[in-house]
Amino acid sequence: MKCAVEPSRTPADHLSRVFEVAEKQDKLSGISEILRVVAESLDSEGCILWEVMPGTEPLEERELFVLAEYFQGDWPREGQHLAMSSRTGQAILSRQPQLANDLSAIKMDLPEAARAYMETRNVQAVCSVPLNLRGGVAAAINLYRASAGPFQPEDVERLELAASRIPYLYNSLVNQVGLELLETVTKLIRSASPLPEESSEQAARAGLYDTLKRIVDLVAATFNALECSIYLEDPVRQPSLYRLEATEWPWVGHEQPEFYPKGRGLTGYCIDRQIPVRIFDLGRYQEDLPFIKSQYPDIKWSDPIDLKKAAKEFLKPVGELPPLSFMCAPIIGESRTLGVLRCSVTQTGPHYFDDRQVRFLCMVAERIGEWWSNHIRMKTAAFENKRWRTLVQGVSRLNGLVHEELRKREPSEQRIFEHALKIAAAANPQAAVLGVRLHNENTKELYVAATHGSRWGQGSSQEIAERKKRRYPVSGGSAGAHVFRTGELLVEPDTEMSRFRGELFPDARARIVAPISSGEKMFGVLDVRAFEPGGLPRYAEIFTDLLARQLGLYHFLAMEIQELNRTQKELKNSFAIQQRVYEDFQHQMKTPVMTAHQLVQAAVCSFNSKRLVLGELSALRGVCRKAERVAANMGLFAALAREDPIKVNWKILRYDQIVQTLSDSTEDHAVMVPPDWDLRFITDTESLQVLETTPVYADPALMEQALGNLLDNAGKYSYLHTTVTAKGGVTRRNSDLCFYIAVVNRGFEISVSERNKLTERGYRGTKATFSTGEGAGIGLWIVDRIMRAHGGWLEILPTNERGFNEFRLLFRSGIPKALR
Amino acid sequence: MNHETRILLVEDDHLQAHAIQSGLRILLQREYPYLVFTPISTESDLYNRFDEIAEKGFDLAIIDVMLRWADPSPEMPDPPPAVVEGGFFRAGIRCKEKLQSDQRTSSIPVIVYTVLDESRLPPGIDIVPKGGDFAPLADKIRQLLPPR
Repeated sequence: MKCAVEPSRTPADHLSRVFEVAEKQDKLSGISEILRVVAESLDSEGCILWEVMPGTEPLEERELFVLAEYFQGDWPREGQHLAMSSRTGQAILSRQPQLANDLSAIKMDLPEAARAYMETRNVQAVCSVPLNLRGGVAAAINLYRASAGPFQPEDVERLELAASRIPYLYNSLVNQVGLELLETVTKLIRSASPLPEESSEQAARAGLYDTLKRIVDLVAATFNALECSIYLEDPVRQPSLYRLEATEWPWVGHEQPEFYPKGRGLTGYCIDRQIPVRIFDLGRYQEDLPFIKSQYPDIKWSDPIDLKKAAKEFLKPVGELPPLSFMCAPIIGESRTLGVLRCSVTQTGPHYFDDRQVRFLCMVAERIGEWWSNHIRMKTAAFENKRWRTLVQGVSRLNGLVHEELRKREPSEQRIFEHALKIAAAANPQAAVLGVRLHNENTKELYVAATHGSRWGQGSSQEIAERKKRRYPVSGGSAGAHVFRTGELLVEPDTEMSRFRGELFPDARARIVAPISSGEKMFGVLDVRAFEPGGLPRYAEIFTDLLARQLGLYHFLAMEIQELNRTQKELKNSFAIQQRVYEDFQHQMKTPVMTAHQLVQAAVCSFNSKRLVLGELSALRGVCRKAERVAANMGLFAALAREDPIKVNWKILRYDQIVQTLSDSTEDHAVMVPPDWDLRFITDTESLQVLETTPVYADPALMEQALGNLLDNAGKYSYLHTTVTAKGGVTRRNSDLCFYIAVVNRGFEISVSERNKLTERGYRGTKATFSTGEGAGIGLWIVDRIMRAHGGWLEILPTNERGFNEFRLLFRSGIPKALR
Repeated sequence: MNHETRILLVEDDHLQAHAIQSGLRILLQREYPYLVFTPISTESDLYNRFDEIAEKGFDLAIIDVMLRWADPSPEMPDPPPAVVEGGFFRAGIRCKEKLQSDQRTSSIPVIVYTVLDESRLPPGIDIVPKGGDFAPLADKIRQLLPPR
């Protein structure tokens, strides 16, 4: 604010005018007005307030810079620095005024910058008076006369008087504009209330950013800053990312960073350390680095826009640039850095942001912090409420789907998981990769059971398939395996330093992995990742954990239901087998008895009724034996169904007895097959000769039953025109010497994998099922139990290369334990 | 030849098939002196020989219920889905349906001759219970066929 000043005639007048003008200043640039009054009242054309540069060197080794200046008319900017060897420096060092009333005599000895001042302005005389600014900062006020002649002693006195008041006036000016700034910002912020509601976010945002822009303009104007910016974090949308929200940016053609992460540059340093940062001159950053680092350890700045060049383009100085000062203050709310308020480079004096300006900037930042914090709190609450609603509604729908799925015989967990991941994605919009990995108990690995998110589909079809097929050993070092082993939620808001970083999607910025479990039982993990700066909001932890628990419950229920279904199926199957067995027994019992009756009846009715022919008698014996066998099988089945042990009536069986049994059995079976099958049954008696000297301990009835069942099968499943051989021998099973009776035939192939199934109750090979009109799959099961009761084995040799199948009844040699 | 009575006998137990033929020949020799039996021992055999059966023109069919699909052989034909599903327990019923569903054979009277209880068969199946005595079967044939 300019005021007309008459040259004062008394020191009191002079001071009174200075105070009068000072009181009217409302901006820091008002310091130039004060200097003008001082200059004009002492008939001078110019006045400069010089200050010693900050630094750690001794005072005499430093330089002076122009803090503020006044020059009559449109004098161009030139020199901005002076050495301490100058008269001004000498005034500071000696604490005495310095006069140079005949500059023409000394001009040639002046440093280049000072001489430029003098020559350009035709300065004839300079008076320099030392003073202390801001608690002892060394400075000097200089008057420059071009036309009024040399300075007189009373001029020096008056300048000393004015200089003694300059610190006070300057301080008052800073306080006044600072307080006004605070008051205006407070009013602005109050008028911006109430803070926006989620429902009218667009309109609210416009109002919000208008307020921030007005604050930026106000701060820039108050501190004469060419650049002023506010960066703010929106923890709801992108935590840890500080986005440019309002700015006064003079450097046209130079791109301003849209956001700052913690730690990057001077602004990032302020955010990271939560302390204000002030740099005297960004143009001298490298030269002053030791001093800067003594104040701000580990600070790093790479001057992304070439500030000197930008400032020169904008300020267009004739000579040197003034100090490119910088200050920024953290915007803090509830102990969290929510943003930063930054000013840099002044357009007019004062050219250096002093401590009090930094303090005022911090106070403005504090106001913004309170306001923004409140806004964020409300926004967070509204946003989280919305997300919770989304989650709850989603889980409610999911419950419906789960209910629907679990009612099915084969519930689709895939569908449940995929739906759950969609809910997780809706509740966590930042999540770009979501996956359910389940534990495979056989391989001890986690496999990808369901996925959601665009990143899964990136790349070639082979890459996508490999990504989804990947397995993670539970004992390995993956994040999923770690969570699966510990059962603890893994939250990595910043994966930069994560030890799991090498995993799939290494560019993920944040990750949450939650255990999918129910009670003590672990089933897998739910993995959620974000790729944008700022990662995942804090509530995502709770969401993910909650959803994972829900999935654990679903999985548990699904498994229980599957188990129940399996049990039910087994029961039904068991019941069906039992039914089939009873039907078959009925059929098998009735058939031989009835056939015998029919044979006799047919014979009786025939003309040759007096005598039955030999073939008919053999057939009669065969069917009667079959009836006996079926009856015995029924008894054994009933006993085994009751879980009663099979009682073995141990006897010593001799060679001739066994040969007889085998011969009779093969004969009996031979008559039971149709003659046109051309299926021969023979007994290999030679193979049994080893028994002439070796007694066999066995239950003869059970042995005959077991043999009969094997021959029954051979009769049903042997190919036509082949031979079924009953034989015996000695072999070893493990270390036991065994006697065996074997039935060898050529029929349906028995694979190694099928071999063990043949002794399961109710098992029937597919082809066997279709080549007979009877049977329920219990014959070999009973044989197996008979042999176990003997302490022996039913050994089934898979089909050999010549197409023979062999079923062996293995009896241990020697006296059985029961008889010892 | 005009007095031949042709009977299709679907029975997979060769002993029973033999006894049935012998027994019926004796019991029915007066009414049907020229009984000619065509034995079929498997379900697939009936399907494979169906055209021949239809051509031949049978007077009656006697069908057992529990029948094997085919004789064991490395080239055993794959059973159709209905056989896979129903198994041998209802093979005779399928054979009966096959005869009745074809226009050429639908008029052939069918006797279901089985040891199974009627309750274990689909409803509406009229059976003659199998037993040692062929008299009930002979009576049923007399009901269905006019004397020759």
